[in-house]
Amino acid sequence: MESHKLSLRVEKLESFLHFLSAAKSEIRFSALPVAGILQKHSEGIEFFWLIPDGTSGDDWAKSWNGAVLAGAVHEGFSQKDLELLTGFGEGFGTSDTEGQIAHFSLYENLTSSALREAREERNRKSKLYRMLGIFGGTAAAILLC
Amino acid sequence: MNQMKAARFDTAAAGICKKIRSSLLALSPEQKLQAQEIRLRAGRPVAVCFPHGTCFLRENGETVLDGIADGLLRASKSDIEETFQILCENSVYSHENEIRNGYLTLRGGYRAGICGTAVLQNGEITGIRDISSICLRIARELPGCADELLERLGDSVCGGLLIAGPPSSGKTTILRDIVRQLSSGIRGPAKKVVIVDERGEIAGCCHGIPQNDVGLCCDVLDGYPKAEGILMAVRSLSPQIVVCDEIGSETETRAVELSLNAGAAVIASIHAGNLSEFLRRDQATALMKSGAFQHIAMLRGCAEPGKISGIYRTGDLVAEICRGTSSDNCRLSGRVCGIA
Repeated sequence: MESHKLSLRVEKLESFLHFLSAAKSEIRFSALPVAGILQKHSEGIEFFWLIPDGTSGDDWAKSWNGAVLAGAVHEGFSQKDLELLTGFGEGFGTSDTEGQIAHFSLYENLTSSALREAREERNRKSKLYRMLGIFGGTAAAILLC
Repeated sequence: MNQMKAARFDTAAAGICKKIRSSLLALSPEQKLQAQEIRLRAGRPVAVCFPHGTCFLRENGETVLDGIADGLLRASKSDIEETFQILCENSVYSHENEIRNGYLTLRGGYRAGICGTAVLQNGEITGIRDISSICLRIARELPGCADELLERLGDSVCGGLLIAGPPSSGKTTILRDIVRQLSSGIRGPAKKVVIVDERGEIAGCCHGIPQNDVGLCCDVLDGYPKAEGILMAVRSLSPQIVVCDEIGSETETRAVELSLNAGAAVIASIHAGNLSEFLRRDQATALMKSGAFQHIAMLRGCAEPGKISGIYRTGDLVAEICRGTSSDNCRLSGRVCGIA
């Protein structure tokens, strides 16, 4: 179970990194609005679906944070990742193309470091959890016999 | 019909921050029908402009004429910022060019004028910061509002028409209805019309779809600068009529001349308070002398939007200008007569 959580976190951070890269290209080359980007590149990130359409007239930062708290929490992101997501949402869409490219580059770097850390953690701990599972199972089997 | 018009006000108000939106939605249906603009200014009362004048809004949706009355709803700096983000659909970067030019085109064909501090780079405006006021213009589609003009001009509308009038006199609304009628074949065979919609006010394209009814045989060059758009239309879209709003610069006049020589008629609008102001404008003179406009239609003003005060033959006006300049500075001597 714990091992699965670690793998899931890696998977989600990979998806988010992929989203950042795709969204950066969209902003640079097609100036697609935020709602369109979220719709087009939401693969693998479920909490995007909780964000209302940009035309709803809701406060964007509040909507993003609400979606992070309601959805991303259950998707396998760690507390530190959630802070990263919240910070990203505060600047997403709020500046001109140049500002957005810089914002995306910053969060690509931050997400890459988080991903590296998540992979190391998974490699280190998942073996341990797996071994613990195997030993626990074996011990239980011996006891039952 | 009236319900639809009131709904347009509600759609426009949806672009305003929540705090102010609720008060705007509380306006009476009659007021919603007549409202022309919603104006937010940082630290000052929210104003709604009607044909008879400007009123200020109270929190409960009441309007008063007195701007220093008690209990007026004031727009704070954060209200303006929130409204700006909503109007941009939280995507400032996708409206960069519009913002640079001081406006935003919104879903539904509305336009918001943005006022703030200019950000300059090498002497050119690259953006606007510290937004201090927003003027949200409520776009109206009035099918049939160009009937009178088209009836009076008949086929000669295809000889080129320049619609002149002060701000909020209904120039764009009339242009839109002319496009709709000509491109749908309501008056004679359908014409191939191209709109060069630099500010997105005529067709009001949003994500490539015209939000206003511009007829069946109409192509829209959305966001194109007028001069480039006119040339592009003539080169690649074989239009019979090219339509654009608020024309007047030297390059635009040259583009109009080129389109005329390429066989496409031009129907455009220009700002002018009245006929004498129109005749005093050098841009107007240049446009008339280009030969691209057979007629000039003058609109009355914001108190009577869409009403025509006169239709003039360009030749008569040019002759009047020539007479005026040879005698004194006053170009209009009262000898010009409307054709109808």
